[in-house]
Amino acid sequence: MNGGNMYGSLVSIRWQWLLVSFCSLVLYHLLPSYILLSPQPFLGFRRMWTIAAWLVVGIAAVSYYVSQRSSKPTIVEPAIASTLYSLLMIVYLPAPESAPVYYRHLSFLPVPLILSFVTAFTSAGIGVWLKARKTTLGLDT
Amino acid sequence: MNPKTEVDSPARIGNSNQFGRGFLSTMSLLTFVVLVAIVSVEHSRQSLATAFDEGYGRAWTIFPWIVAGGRTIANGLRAFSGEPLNIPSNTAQLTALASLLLGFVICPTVYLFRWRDRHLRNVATSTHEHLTLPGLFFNYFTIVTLFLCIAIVPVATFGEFVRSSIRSAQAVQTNKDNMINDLDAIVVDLQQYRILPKSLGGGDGSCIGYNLAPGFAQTRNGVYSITVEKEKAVIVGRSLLFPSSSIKVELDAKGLELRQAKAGMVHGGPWHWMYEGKFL
Repeated sequence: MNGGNMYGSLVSIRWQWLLVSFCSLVLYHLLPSYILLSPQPFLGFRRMWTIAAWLVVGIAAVSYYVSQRSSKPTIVEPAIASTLYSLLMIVYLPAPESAPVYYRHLSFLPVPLILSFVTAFTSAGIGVWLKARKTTLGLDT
Repeated sequence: MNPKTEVDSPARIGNSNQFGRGFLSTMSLLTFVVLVAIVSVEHSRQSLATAFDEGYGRAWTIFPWIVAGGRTIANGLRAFSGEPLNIPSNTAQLTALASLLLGFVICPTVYLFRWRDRHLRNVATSTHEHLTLPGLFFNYFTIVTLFLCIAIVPVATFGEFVRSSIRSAQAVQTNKDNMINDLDAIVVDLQQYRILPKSLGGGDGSCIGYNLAPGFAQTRNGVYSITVEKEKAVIVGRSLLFPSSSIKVELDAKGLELRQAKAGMVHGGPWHWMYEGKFL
């Protein structure tokens, strides 16, 4: 795994891993959350920071998992999938009644999307870096 | 390479497909079904909530005993108010049973069997394995199991905190009720003293000269003191269980005529009650 491969992974998007990332977010993050938490509006979260924490932690974990499972460096795919996933959550899941006014304002929309992209990109990048380090050190079996 | 104990390395896999047969299509289909189901349920949550509230309180939960505890308390209040109990429907009970079986039996069992299988096969890393459908379900069971393992600690801690708070509140209320009864008994004794003639050891229409008997001055609930004038009395009781808490009752001439504390406790009535500390 060298810089060339890393660069290649950033410019070419493999749609399979984009799909896997998005499906993983739905199946490994949304579905367990929905079953384990009660079916309340936006999974019962009543405060904005809990929604943000739920999204950030879930996206980070799933992006790391995807980057670990892929045989090639996979960074952009989880980031794009996470952005789409966040957009889906915001558009389709009803907002909690206590959500502030700005939450429903269109100009607020880029904030969670950028946050999701950065979180997933960082997490997947860390996953790729750790995997490369393991390979370099010969710890990968 | 031993096919039973070793898996393909990245070099061997190379650019070949990392996905098992039918993995992507099935995963996509599952995702679509899950998304449609969740979004539709979320948007019809009002009717769902109403339907399930009649039976159990919520559609499902992985911790049904919490819901059951709330239902027991609600039923206790209903019974206290003379209303019929709200018995969970069969559907709600089966849903709770299914939640328990899924969360605490099926998921941990699958997770542990799979973990044991991987351990026996000496699969140290999952990076080089193909993504397969059994792996998909295994990951799901793993997430549920790990979530439960993590969540059970704060849930148990919070539950114990709630139980402790309820016990403490009940102890305070019980002590307060008992002290009100003690004060009621003191007032009755004071009223007896007031109406008795001096020849029989009474006050002959006055409260002056009244002293608390030892049985009234201190009980298991609190310590009491009294200050009397001719047509007025002030009794102060300090709790023994909660020393920072006290009750003070003031009686005027009209209040001294009343026989029951309950009548005197009416807001704006002739017995003026004042609470301090935890009795507030």
